[in-house]
Amino acid sequence: MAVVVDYKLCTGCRLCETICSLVNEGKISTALSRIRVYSFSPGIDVPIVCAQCEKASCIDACPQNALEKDEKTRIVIVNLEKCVGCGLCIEACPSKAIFMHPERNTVFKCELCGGKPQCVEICPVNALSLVKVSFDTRIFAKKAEEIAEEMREAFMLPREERSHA
Amino acid sequence: MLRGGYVGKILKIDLTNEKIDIIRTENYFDVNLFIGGKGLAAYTLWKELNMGIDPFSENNLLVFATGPLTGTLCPGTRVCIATKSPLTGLFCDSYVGGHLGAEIKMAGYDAVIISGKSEKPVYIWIHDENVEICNAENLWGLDTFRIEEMIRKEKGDMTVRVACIGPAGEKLVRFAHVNVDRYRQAGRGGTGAVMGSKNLKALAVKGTGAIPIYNVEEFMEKAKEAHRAVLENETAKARKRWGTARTIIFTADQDLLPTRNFREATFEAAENLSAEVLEKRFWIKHRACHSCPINCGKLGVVRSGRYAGTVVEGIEYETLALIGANCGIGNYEAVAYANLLCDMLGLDTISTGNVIAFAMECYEEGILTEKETEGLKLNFGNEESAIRLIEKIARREGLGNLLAEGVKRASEKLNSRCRRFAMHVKGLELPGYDVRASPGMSLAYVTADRGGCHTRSWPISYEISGKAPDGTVIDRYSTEKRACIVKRQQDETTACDTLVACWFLKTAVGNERYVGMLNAAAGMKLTVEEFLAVGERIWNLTRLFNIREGLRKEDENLPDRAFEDPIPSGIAKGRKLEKSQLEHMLREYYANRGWDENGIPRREKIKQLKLDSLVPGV
Repeated sequence: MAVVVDYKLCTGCRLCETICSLVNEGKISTALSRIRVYSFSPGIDVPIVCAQCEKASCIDACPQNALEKDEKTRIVIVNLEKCVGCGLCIEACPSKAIFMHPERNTVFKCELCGGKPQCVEICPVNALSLVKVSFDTRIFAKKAEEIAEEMREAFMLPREERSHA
Repeated sequence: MLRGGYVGKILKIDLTNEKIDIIRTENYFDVNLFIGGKGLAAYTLWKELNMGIDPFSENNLLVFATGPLTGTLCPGTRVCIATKSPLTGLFCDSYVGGHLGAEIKMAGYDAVIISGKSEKPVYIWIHDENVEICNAENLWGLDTFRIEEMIRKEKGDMTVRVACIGPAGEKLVRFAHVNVDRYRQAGRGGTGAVMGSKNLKALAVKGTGAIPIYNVEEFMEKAKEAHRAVLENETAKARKRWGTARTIIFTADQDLLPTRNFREATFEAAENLSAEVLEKRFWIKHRACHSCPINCGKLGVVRSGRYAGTVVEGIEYETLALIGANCGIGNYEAVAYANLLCDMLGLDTISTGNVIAFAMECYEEGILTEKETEGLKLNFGNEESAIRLIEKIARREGLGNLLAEGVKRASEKLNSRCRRFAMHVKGLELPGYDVRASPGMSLAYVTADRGGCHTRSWPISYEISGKAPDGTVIDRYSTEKRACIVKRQQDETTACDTLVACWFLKTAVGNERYVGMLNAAAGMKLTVEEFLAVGERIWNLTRLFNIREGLRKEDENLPDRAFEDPIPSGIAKGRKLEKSQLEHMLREYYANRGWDENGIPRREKIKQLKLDSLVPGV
């Protein structure tokens, strides 16, 4: 299971970010959110959320074995008792969808709100969906900049934008 | 003690002395009386501005005020930018969406109040509790898009939010805007010019903190219900698909669309500017401000032709109306490029469309010749000349220097013949609704606190439907119930502006849900009646501010064109506004408001609204 994104539909409203921190942390803060929306010129919006890779580089990178795959759901879970906050998983993640918690010395990431991701529910344009697929979702794990570049091509945006005299 | 919604601090920055102060929000003002946003801004300008100061002097203030629901899960919230306007000399509050408001809150501030004037160009950098005044000499002269990119690059963080001015703000063009998130603007009243007068190029913000919520469960429930209500609302649905652009066919059909400097009220080429055309040929995706389910923003691309390579969010109705129809331009690609120029150079598209249309009429009437226009042929519909003129206005070159003063001052300098078609109220250029076929709108314009403005009250929907809010039947062209409708809408809008919730969601969300969210987020115990009373209180306070600045009853008037030139074609052909109609509505309106016959709030009203402690002599 993973939250996947239809980037063409995202409007950049960041309701996903807002509800994520509120549900998981009891307050509203981008820095506490497990999903982050980045906006690129000229108006491309790219939500970044853990792809729950099957072959997960974050798990491989963790020297404490603090990251593990849940047997049943195949979600990547952070074991807070083992995590020492070294940040090697963040470096290893291709999409930078793991974050250092600003108030605790551990990392945190999307764990699908216990099976009912609130971001998916609130997204007003259905840009997010919870899917179970038979292939390795790591193909979704890309850097925001890379996705933005792909979207510029998808929207056929001009290389040279018009400006003033 | 504030319990949630608010983040608790107000940041004061004095640019003259490079002094930075922090005040606890609850020590600064009474949140129960003014809530935040416009309330906080009106309180600040009333308390801290001396009467009669020059808006461009260091004595003026620039307030960035958020509300207790800004940046939360409440559908669509923004930030209020307030100052004494260089166009009107009156109270001015202009709102901008995007994500600046949320960022200011996450940085820990409910408001940022900027005073004084820097000697050299600077920008303000707010990174949580670290506040710096930085050199901006290398940024001076650059357009708004470049500024945003450069500051983000310098900080190595593309999520930094930037409010900045273009060349127009630097040159003190009286209707210069403040630009945010590339395509969002606090457009009206010249807030960007005030920023320019302070030598302040930008305000850049990064916040990593949190907005506390008093009762998370209850707040979530209320907010989700509000989102559901918005997504089910028919008007909101239409806006979600077509943005504000869909309005142009409506106004063209109803003889409300300003055309060729408000001479006509319907435009033969309106369909070329319609949402239907933009959707097919121009738009590529939807865009939204913080936490907004409506996404009325549309990103568009011009693919070919003379304006190929134009990428801009829009085109909003007001721009289509004022730069399109009002200048006689029926080519959406030209309007899109003009829109882009205004965004980059820092100009309000409503005022810009007005001054260009005014110049076009002056040119056609022989008041301006090619000597003054430096060879520009300014006949209506000449899109190339209009586009050239935008650049000239932003840089105050040639005729642009005169038009940069706004239509009121330009007409006073030019020739007494042109005053009758200088389309403004109290110095603020009129937006996209002709009043000759809408008596209610004329009352809304003349009584709006910031001058000719459509956002405080928009009684048109009641006039067209023929039903007042209480269900009684009203005639479209009569004055019945208008005073009552306009007062109620102004109070509601103002209450909404304290939160600072977007006008486009107001009807769908409704006062009860707003109050529910506010109480749950902030731990307050406001009733809907009290919430509306806050709106009325603030409306009276901005009134008192304006009176202190010299506003008189005579100023609550419209240009002669509204009373003298009948609509030449369309559904309301032959209609014009009667002076007696406006006078009648004004009398009724003042009485409804508890103001005297000159529009001054009576002592009892001031006391009833608990404003007496702020007003000496009551």
